[in-house]
Amino acid sequence: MEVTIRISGAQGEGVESAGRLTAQALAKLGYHVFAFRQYASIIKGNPTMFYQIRASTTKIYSHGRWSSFDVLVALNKNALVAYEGGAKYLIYDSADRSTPQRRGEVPIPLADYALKAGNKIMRNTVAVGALMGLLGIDISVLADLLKREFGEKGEKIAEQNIQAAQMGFDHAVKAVGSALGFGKVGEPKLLMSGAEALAVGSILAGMRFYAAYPMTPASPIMHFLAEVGPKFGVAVLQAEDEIAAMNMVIGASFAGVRAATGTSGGGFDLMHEAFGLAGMIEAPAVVFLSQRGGPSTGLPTETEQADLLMALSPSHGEYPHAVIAPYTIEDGLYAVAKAFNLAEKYQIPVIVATDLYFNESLTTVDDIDWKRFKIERGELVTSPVVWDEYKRYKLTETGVSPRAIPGILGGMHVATSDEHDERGDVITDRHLPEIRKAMHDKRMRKLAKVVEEMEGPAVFGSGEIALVTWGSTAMPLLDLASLERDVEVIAFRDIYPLNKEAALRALDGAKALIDVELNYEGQLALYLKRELGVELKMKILKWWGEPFSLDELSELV
Amino acid sequence: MTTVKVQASRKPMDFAVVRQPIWCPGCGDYGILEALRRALAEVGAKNEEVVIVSGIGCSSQLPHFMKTYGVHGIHGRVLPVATGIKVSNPKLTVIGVGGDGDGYGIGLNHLIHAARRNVGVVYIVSNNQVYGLTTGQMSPTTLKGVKTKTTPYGSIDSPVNPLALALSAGATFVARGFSGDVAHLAQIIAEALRHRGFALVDVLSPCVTFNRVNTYDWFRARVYKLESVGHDPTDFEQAYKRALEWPTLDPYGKIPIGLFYKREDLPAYEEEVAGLLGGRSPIEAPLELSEELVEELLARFA
Repeated sequence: MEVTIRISGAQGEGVESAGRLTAQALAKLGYHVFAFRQYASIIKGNPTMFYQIRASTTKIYSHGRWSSFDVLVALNKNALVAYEGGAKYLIYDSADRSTPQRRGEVPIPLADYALKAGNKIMRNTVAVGALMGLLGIDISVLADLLKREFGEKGEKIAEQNIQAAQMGFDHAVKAVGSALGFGKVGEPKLLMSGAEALAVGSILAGMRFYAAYPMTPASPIMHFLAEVGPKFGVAVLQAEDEIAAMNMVIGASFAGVRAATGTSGGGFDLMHEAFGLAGMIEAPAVVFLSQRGGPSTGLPTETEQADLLMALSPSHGEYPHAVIAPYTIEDGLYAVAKAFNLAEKYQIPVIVATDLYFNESLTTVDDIDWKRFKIERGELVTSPVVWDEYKRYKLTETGVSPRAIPGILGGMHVATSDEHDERGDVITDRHLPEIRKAMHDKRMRKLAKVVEEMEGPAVFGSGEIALVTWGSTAMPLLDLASLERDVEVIAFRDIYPLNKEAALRALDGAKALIDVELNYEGQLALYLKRELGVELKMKILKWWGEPFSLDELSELV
Repeated sequence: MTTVKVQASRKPMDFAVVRQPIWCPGCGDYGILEALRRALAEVGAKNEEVVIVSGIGCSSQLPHFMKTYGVHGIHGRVLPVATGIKVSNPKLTVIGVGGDGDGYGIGLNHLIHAARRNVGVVYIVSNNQVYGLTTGQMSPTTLKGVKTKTTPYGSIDSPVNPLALALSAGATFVARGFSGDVAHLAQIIAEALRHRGFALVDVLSPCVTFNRVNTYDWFRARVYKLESVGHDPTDFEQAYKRALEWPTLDPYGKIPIGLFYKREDLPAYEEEVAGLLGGRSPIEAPLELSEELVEELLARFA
């Protein structure tokens, strides 16, 4: 049992809250839900933004189809005209079209009902009420959500919204009955966005400092942490720019606190120098690189995966780091836990690469595996050391040296951005190639240890065709693999350093390899060719701001 | 200036290391190093609880000559790193050190924001009015008309006035010292170390190699002490007027040194953060959550 609903209207017309309420209602009834928002870089306007909500009794990972859906809720005429062709059922304002043109159309006086309930602004609530009626969802489910949503604004507003919803509900039930029959199918499920998964994962992973500068689509991570973090001991600082944010993270990390920042491509450009500093002074740090369409300001509110090559090699010079790209929102929780452990165990900066589609989509999460949140701090010095003997950058076999933090007696040292010796003393006032050789090699050989912890790509299904991808593009592909026989999905998650043996093992079995990515160059394919010598000759690439959808994938594959 | 009690238990040499500074003989940075050691001894600081953060430039080598923790970071980013440290663990004494290029040029942005946040960092700027380590280019505090490698016909840029800027930005402790008067500078730094919130200590620190204009003698002929003219450091307007004297109003006139402005009644940024966190700092917050807290966290998504 499955339904796909598209709610469309102008930005500022309430599409956002209507979409979220619908997703929440379905999650409450025990459905697996995925909700995706398409919008533009404007606060009010853009008449046809939409929220697409998909719910199913089986596990789903994406918004589903792009050109057809079961229900369209159109909050204005433009939205109605733009998307009606794809929908079986239409809910719209009877002011936009007075007489239905075909079966399944449910014109409702949205504005009139909203006005009757107390305020024209509640048109969206009337529409969601009608949607509940059409879906066959008990109105009390929505009423509870409205109470919670508007409770803070006062009982009266909540009551007015419930009344507005009820009118829409009654109208729809009278017109078409509870046509779709979506009753309760299980226990309520948790519903969270990708950004929230990253934030929650961070709190569970022991992150206690987050500094960032606002940038779509990373901002929701900071929004959540700013609101919820303090209760859990997380300091959240809005920095003056991304350069400051990354340097603040390094300061917090030097002080011994697990710390992270989040940004998108342009902000990460500004962080590069400090990212290299973290590599040089061996300060653990985590960066949430939330991609959007580039280059430059690019497509600020639309998704893309074009920053892989940058993530592989940000900043100048050579230094060890790691890149992890969670392939489902649930995996985001675990990817973050792993990122913080890798960062601290190997004293390196780690990138968690996601994108707008990942960060802003909502999905239900169930069966969280708590074992995956074990905190490992590595070579952290916690008791006094003898200052004359202590070497912060001691040459070791693994390349990892004991890390003393301020406050530890005897652990005094300088973390130096210049090349330095084992004690952290700057050596660049002389020509000391032997020390340079040894220290550079020490840092770089940490990668050999990191790679031991990197997992091979996740493989789903089996078949003649293998779709090779990374990060969030795995989400629609996983859905495709559950629909189409003979399709295998190979999703790279632990990207850099690459576990080559496991990667080759996964790629070797398949007959036809197709690279599927949201960028122009096929950046994963370029990377795999460089690392493995494997060429993915066939590519399905997209770079115009839309995620992949099931209908187009079926056709292309 | 208030008198400070000398704690016999700490000596300036307790903060010294075997390694000797690599600055040119006569460099103003020696005076800053000595003054800082004296000030730390005076306030009874413990080596392991002091962190000195620097950027890039001659003066940013300073942490290497101190027996304390240090971060010798990248150019211009002293204050963000220092902010991250202080907020994470407010028990630490966090000192920023850098030059005028580092703090008033590439990193000027951060000075304004550190000042308005009132983060508890003492920021000592070795102001030599030239880029020394890169061999003598114009700096943000180079006086108009001065010839450098990049201004061979004389600088056409007006200099930054860091003290007036810091006061405008809301800094709660603003002072200027002179490397040629170590005892006076040490007193200023000691008072800055005791201050609640952000403290800017601008130090006139001659570059003996690349700045042939602003020499020790040049400064000696011009500096006067604010405490000797009855300046009231609690009076913002007076402080602002004094700050404008040099270099803004008369770049070749008298130069006030000493404490321009101080107020202790505003909370430091790290106190505000700890307030939000229920009275603890990030380093004190447990890494692992109790089961109840995990449930509370996840309940937000139900």
